[in-house]
Order: sequence, then C-alpha cells, then structure tokens
Amino acid sequence: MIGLVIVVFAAGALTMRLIGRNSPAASGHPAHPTGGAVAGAAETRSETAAWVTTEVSHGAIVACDPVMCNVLKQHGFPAGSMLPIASPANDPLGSAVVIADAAVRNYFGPRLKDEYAPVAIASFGSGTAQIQVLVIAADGALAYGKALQADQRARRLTGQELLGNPRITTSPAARADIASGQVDSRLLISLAPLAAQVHEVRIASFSPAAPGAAPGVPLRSMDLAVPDGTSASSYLAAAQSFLRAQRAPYLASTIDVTRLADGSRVLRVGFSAPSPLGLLGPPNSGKQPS
Amino acid sequence: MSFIRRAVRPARLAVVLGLAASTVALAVPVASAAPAKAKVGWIRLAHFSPDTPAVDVYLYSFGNPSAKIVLHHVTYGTVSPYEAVPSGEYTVAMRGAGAKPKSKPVLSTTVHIATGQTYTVAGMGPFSGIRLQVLHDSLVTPKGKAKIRVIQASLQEHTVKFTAGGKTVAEHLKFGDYTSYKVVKPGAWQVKAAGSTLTAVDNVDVKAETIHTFVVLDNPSTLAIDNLVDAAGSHEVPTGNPNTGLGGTAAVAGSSMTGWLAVVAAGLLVTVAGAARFRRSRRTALRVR
Repeated sequence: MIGLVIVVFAAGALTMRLIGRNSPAASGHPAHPTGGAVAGAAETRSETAAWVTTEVSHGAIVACDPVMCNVLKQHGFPAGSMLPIASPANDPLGSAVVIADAAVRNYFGPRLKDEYAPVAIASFGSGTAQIQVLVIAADGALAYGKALQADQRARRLTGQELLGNPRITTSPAARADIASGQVDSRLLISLAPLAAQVHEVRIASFSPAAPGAAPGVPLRSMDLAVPDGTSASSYLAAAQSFLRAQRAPYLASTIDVTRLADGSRVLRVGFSAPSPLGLLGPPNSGKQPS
Repeated sequence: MSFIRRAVRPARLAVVLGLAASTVALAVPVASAAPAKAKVGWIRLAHFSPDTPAVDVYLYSFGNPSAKIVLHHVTYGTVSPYEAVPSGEYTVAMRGAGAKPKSKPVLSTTVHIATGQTYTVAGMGPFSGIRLQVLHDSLVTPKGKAKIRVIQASLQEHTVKFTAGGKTVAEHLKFGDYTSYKVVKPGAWQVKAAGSTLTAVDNVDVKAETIHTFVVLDNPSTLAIDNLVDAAGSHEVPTGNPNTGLGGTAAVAGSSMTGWLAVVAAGLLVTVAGAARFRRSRRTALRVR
C-alpha cells in the first residue's frame, strides 16, 4: 500500500514537473493563457508576420522567439534571415529588427528598449499580447535616438529644398509630410534624379505610418501620379525603368503601377524597413574639417 | 568690312546666332555660380578606383534642376577642377562611360554643399564595390603653416606607408583609406609612398598656407603620387591646375567645366569662320592672278 502511495505521488510530481517545463511562463510566454487569449495571440502573431514579410527587407536579420520565427517562416520570410532567441542568453544584437512579443519581453525586461531596441516601427495587438517590431540600435539606444533626430532634421531641411524644385509637384498632404521631415531619405534622394529623367514628378501621397510606429519613423512608400498632358504608359515605363536600374540602398522593393479607386493609375514606389539613417548630408557639414 | 557683310547672310547668321546662343547658355551657369555673394560651394570629382572603367558622374540638385552637373568619361586618376555650385543637397549618380545609351545613372550617394565650403566626391574602392566617398576639403591653414592629407588609392599594394621629408604621415593605409588633414611646416620635401614591394617618390614644394592632398595611385607595375592642391592661400579656392598625375583630363582649376566648354565653342566658331574666310580669300587671290 505504501509502495502504491509512493508511486502515485511520484507520478503526480513528475506530471507537475513536466507541465511546469512546458508552461508558457517557463518558455518565456505569459502564464495561464485562456483559450481566447491564445487565439488572440495567434492572430496578432499572424498579423505581425504578414506585416514583417511584406515590409521588412528579406535581407535584414530579424530576431524573434522560436514560436514567432515559425509563424514568420509560414508567411514566407526566409529562414536564413531569422535569428531565433530561445533564452535571455541570446541577445538580439547582430540583427536589424527584433520582434518583441511577450516571450522576448520576458527574456530582456526593460533592457530590451533601454539598451537594444528603443524605437518601434510597427505594433500589433494590445496588453500582454502586444507585439512590437523594434529597430535594433547597434550603437546603443542613446546613439540611435540622436541619429534618428539628426536624420529627421536632415529629412526636413532637404525636403524643404526639394519642395522648391519646379519639376516636383505635390498634393497638400504630401507637401506637409515632406516639409515636416516624415519622408524616408531614400525616397527624397530618388526624387530629383527621377524628375530629371522624366521631366516632372507629381507626388499624390505617401503611405500612412505603420500601426504603432514611433514618431520620427519615416514614411517609406509613395504614389506618383501621371502629370497632365503626358502619355501614362510611356511616363510610367520611363519612371519604372529608372527606378529599377538602381542598386541598394536606392533600389525600391516596390515599383508597381496600381489603379486607385477613382480609376487613375499611379506608380507606387516603396522601400523596405528598417529605414537607414544618415544617408542625407549632415546639415552641419558647413564646419571646416580639421 | 566685306567679312561683316558676308557674315550677316541669313544662313550664316543662323549659325552664328546659334553658336552665340549656345555660348551664352553655357556661360550662364558660370556667371550665376561664380559671384562671391551668391550662396555657392565648390565641388570636384575624382576617380580613384583602379580597376573601374571610366564613368560619367551626375549631380542632381534637390531644389534646382538647372544646377545639374554632368562630368563625362572620368577615368582613373582623373580629378576635375573645382566647380562652383549653388549650395544645397545633391544626389550623386554614376554611369559607366561605355554603357548602353539607354542605361540609367545609378544613384550612389548624396553631398550637402555648404556655402563657401569645398568638397571632393571620389570614386573609391574596387570595381566590385565602388562607392562614392564625399571628402570635405579644407580651405584654411594656421598662419605660416600648410596642411596635407593622404588618400590611398592603390590596389597593387594592400597597405601603404606615406612619409614626407622623412617623417611618417600615415602608416598601414589600406586601399580606400584617407587621413584627416595634418598641419605641417612648409618646405621642399621628398614624399614617399611605400608598400610591401612597390614605392613611389616625388619632390614637392609645400608653400605656407597651401593645402595638399597626396593620392597614392597605381601606375602600371609601380606606384605614383598625385599632388592635388586643395587650396592656395587661406580662404581661397585654388586657381592653379591640379596635377592629375596619370594623364588626367582636368581643366583649369577654379573655372567651371561649362565655362571651358563655352570657350571651346567660341574657339570653334572663330576657327570655322576663319577657315571659311581663308578659303574665300585664297580663291579670290587665285582669281586675281
């Protein structure tokens, strides 16, 4: 009888241990998720994976916990561009972005944003199920913050210069985006040469910011309208030809003709995330070199 | 007098006006860019990538489409003269000089031209990874001193040691590396670039308040040193002809390439008119005889 009690007790203890080992808390995931929460988390993961697969460069290394990496893989993000983080011992440095879900947040705590990745370029879900796509700050969060501010300042100054270019016209909303330094430097850098090639560029709009993107994160996509009195086909072909001839980092990931709801055709030009900083000349380069 | 009468014939008038218009059109950027009061900076272009064929280099102003600059067929070792350009942001692009006519310039970098400042945009690195590097050139020296800087653009030697007057200026300079400016005493020096097997030696006269960039270049099976005068006299853009070393095609420094073209166009006009007049006068002389 005593032997039977010991066996039952031992079996119970072993079961509890096995359950404990596979529990979400032990694997970095929040403890005791309900059925609805699990489904919600899965949905948020899927939403995040879809965004990352579409918007983040497939050449960029993405750090993610194994569950998230698996979902990313299912969405078609290349496995070779993933850095799985399975424990706090694996830091995300060396990657371009980190997908901060509950598991990754549990691994690194406040250090995640304070040290490794201070800026969100997109965010999905809410509460403990929230997933943020964060840019890695290779030189530390402080340096990244300064670089982002400097980049936005350069984007604003050069954008204002671009708005004086008589070959470039904009919608009021697009003008406001450029003037406030919201537009990705790769788009700004491409515009003057493109205008020189096709004689005129009309910016219809810039894509809205990604959900949950931090202030200062650039807008990476724009729609170019066909100027009045121009053959749409030849104009769009000439613009596409010029843009497709470029190389990284100035080769756009999207160069497609799209038909808008009003039936007009636009050329959609988009660059992948994350936006590189420092491509524009520093506004203080008037200083004499030593 | 008779020449003037002949010159105003309609067909000839059209040619003369056409060329004159071209000349004026070419000269306008010079006139608009040159005045000291205008907000201008200076830029020159250099090709320091030994295994890269000749390139055409394009500068597109963000705000001013008429400020576009094109330099054709820039070959290794070539350094253009400084060119005055309106200050502001530019996108720099390259295109292979022998590329198909329909091929597009490839965007490479940007340069912010600040008013009164000078820059060198240099093609650096091997052909497979050529990049355009923007170097901010110096115009100012401490009184009675000179400044020098070194660019290592030799692929034949992995690292180079550069000495001036027997003193080391830079060691272990890798291909594509460049030093910051160093303040030196003026004087007549022997400068030397030494790799593991190849060396180049040159005698230079570094005068007070001049600024020099020494470029270590490949010359077939040896090295060469190109001595570029970035500035002669504090706060002055150089007016001398940069020594382009390996047969560069640089025009007179300080003048605009477009200005140079205007002079060529005007010269062609005079030559053609002169030749026509010479032929006619020869015929007249033969008939008189």
